[in-house]
Amino acid sequence: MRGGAALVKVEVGVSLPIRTLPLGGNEPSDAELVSRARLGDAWAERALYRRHAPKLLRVARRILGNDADALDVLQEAFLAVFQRLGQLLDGAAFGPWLMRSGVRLASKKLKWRRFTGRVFFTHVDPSELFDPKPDAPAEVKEQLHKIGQVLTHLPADQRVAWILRYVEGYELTEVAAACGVSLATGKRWIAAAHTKVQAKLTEKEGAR
Amino acid sequence: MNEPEAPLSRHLEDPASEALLQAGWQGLEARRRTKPRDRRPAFVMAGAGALALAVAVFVGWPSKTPPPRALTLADGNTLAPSLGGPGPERWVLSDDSRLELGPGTKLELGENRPGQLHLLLRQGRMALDVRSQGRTRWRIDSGSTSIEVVGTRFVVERQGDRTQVTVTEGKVRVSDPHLVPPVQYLGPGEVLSPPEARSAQTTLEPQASRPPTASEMNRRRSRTPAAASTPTPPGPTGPPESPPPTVPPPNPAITTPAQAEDLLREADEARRRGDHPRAAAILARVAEGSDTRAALAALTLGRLLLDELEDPAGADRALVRALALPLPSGMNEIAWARRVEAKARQGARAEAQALADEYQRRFPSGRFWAEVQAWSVR
Repeated sequence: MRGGAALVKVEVGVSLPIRTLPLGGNEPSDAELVSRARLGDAWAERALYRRHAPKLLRVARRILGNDADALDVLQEAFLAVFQRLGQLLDGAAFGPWLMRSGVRLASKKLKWRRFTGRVFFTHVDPSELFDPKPDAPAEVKEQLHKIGQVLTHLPADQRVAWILRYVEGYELTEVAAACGVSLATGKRWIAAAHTKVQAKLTEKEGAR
Repeated sequence: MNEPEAPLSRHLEDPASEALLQAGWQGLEARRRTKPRDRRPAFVMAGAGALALAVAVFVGWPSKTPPPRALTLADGNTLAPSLGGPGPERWVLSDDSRLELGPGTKLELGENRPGQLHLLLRQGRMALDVRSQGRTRWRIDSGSTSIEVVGTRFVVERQGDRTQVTVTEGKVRVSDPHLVPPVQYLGPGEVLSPPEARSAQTTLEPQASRPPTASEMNRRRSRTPAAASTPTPPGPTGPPESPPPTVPPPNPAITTPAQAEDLLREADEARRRGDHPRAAAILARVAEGSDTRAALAALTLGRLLLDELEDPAGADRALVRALALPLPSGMNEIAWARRVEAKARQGARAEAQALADEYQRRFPSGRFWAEVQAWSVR
């Protein structure tokens, strides 16, 4: 999984006790931390959080479009996995396991939000799904705005899969694993979403 | 499907700020400290609730409340048009309500139809324990006084034109054109004697010719249980007009109910005049008996000593005496509650606390628990 850059950044920039972890080759592995967490080691749990939370928070924020829902998903996912650590056979699989749990929760929250939005006639998605960097080129900002508009109207599963693939840069197998579906289904979701996104972008470019 | 050249995230702000991560961890810790909530999706719960409601409305809802029936006797026989005789009578009705008639009582059945029972008390004393639970509306007319049952247990006594209503449990509605206000609700321990008798007595006693004032009417309504057994004396009874009371001889034997009745009437008169020591002396004599009347007299004596004569020790003795006698159940609770006050006012905190505990044990949902608690901690 492509997550190394994020991990490095987190370890350098944090103020939580994870900074006391030895860097480099001496850094304890997920399997080791999971083993210690199973024995009730609070420090190990915190280390797991510090290591994996930024990535999950990023994904959840981009799927849901707001911090509050993303934080909710983050906490629920960690709660669930910490409670079920005993069921994890391979401690090294903690990251993908957590991501799958988080993505499922985010997807469910998105569906629920849309359902309540239809029932109570409320607008559920933020006006801007993505938050571009200030120094991003103007045409990129415009494209992101358009993509956000398209994604807002996509089915939740397709939206999640497309974001994982094209925003986060996950491999197809990683997308399928995170969504908890087969590779074929993952591909189909991504393709369906991508077709709509491309159509929208092409249409707009043509109109211009 | 095209492979992405580079993820779009390189153009996006990183939402995983340190502040959010910290907030996430703190929220996680807080959630772990609290009880985990039910994770079932809310819409499933909402759906289940809606389904249950639908089932309740369309299937489980009682089709109709069973219509009330006219009351009969418990054995199925119809109520006689008139009840009462030389001896006491006790009837159990089909809704399990109890009707007790004193000796010489004359009670007539006015109307008995589904949902409504109308009785006319011509003379004597009747005690009702109504258990209709609102299905039947009870009304008892006694002279110009009309009593409607709101609650459960009460006594109506009529002697000549004098009617007296005593409530031991629940609530009744008493209406009489002579009352001020004409409709009053009585709760447990309350006694009301509408001044109808006065107009009748007025013809016999010219000095009581003026109509009673509102303040006099309110004085007549008292929470004094002993007054329950004491018919209201005639006239608004201003002290100048009242004949000087005769002092009862010391410790005479009270052999008949009539004697007790006379003494209680005297006690009532004394209390109205403000002669509380004399009222207490008379009540103490009646309390020497061993029947319900003596029990009520003892309870009233205790209240009098506590409220008017500042004698909590004597009040406690009287209340102990009342509890040792056959006191009606509603009055029982009053006596226990007032014992706590008596002990507290004597400064016997430990005993007051012990009595408060006993009160709570006997009456777990007692009506006077707040007052009892307040006295026990003074």
